[in-house]
Amino acid sequence: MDIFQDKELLETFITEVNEHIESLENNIIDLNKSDDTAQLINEIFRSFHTIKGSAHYLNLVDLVNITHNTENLVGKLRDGSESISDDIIDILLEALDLIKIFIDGFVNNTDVNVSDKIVPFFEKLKKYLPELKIEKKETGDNKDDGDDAVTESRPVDDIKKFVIFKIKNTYFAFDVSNIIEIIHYQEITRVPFVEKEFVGVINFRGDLVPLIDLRIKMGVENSITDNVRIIVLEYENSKVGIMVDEIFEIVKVNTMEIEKEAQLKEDIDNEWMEGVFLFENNIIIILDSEKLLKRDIAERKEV
Amino acid sequence: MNKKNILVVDDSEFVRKIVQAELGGNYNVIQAENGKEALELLYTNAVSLIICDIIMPIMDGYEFVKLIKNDDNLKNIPVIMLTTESYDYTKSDFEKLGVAEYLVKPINSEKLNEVINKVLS
Repeated sequence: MDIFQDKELLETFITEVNEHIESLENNIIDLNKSDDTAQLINEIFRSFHTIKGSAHYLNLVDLVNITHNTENLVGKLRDGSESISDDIIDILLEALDLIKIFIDGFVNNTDVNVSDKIVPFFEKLKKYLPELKIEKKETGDNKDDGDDAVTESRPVDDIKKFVIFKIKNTYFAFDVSNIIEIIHYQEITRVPFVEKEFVGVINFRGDLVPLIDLRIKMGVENSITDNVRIIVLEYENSKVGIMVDEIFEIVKVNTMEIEKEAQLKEDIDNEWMEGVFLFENNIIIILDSEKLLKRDIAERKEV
Repeated sequence: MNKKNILVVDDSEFVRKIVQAELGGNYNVIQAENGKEALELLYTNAVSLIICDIIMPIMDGYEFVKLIKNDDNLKNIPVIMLTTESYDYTKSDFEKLGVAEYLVKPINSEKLNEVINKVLS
């Protein structure tokens, strides 16, 4: 079925998105006035979520990305890991504006172009969603992120962000810049006759992504609990999923605080280690994803 | 032969209409906007299969499926979750409740029909 050929369905889509836009508008503004915000937050969450679901059907990638990431931010308001602030309300209103622009363009069949507005919007969101990966469209002149240039010129204050996760009782971390997204455990398509830590492939946004269970690789128990997460990393222009016991925290670390020469317990392969740092009195081992994956991926390609 | 009834529970009219368009030829598609409305329809209609979203107002998909799986008159109706990725519930939450299938939107008609045939066979 081609939805684009079905005028009535498209009209239903537009009417429904417009209803959500209206309800979002009221609910976001009310966030500042109301004492009981839980209900409002739920409704806001649902609106972004529903628009995302419909946008998926029409393959409206920009709209999916805007609503998906904004939904994640609202999710943080809902579970209490962020609280309502003027900054967050501004971000929500900006998301709403982007949706309006997108839908106006869609309705009027004009060349919808919110791409140039999405990047600055995502930069703001990234403050609350460190795992958010901003894919910049090449425009020719700004290939380099301005922020990087600044930190490069001041190496002393070089701050890096890490996602800390747990494998059994040990804390590890990956540099956020290699991470595309952190997702919940999902159905794995098993692939026979390969390295045992390579447990199969998952469907990530329509791509088949190889999945490595880091617990198996580290030789520890690998049960599937509700906390298990898959960290989707970028590796040599493709993607790899890494299964871990749970995500602990996302932290900013001054590179000065990272100890590169530390000697570790012998049960951890030093080859994979990029360095260690202390967080809340825990030793966090930074893993070098390239070295960690090199052997797995090379061997898999030979199969 | 009478067409079998399929109950589609989704707060999005757009999604309900897509399912109606996909399945309307072979089945009689009944629509509900949320779990509560779906429950009411289940008491007055013989339904062969339920296709259900998760995040909905008034009564969400988890609450709804939990209720029907605890109701002796309804628990044997197969349920297919058709949902958008979200952090609220995991697939295994629904497997524990005993749903037949868990599908992530968007889904093409081929796959949907394949799953329905499997579940109804």
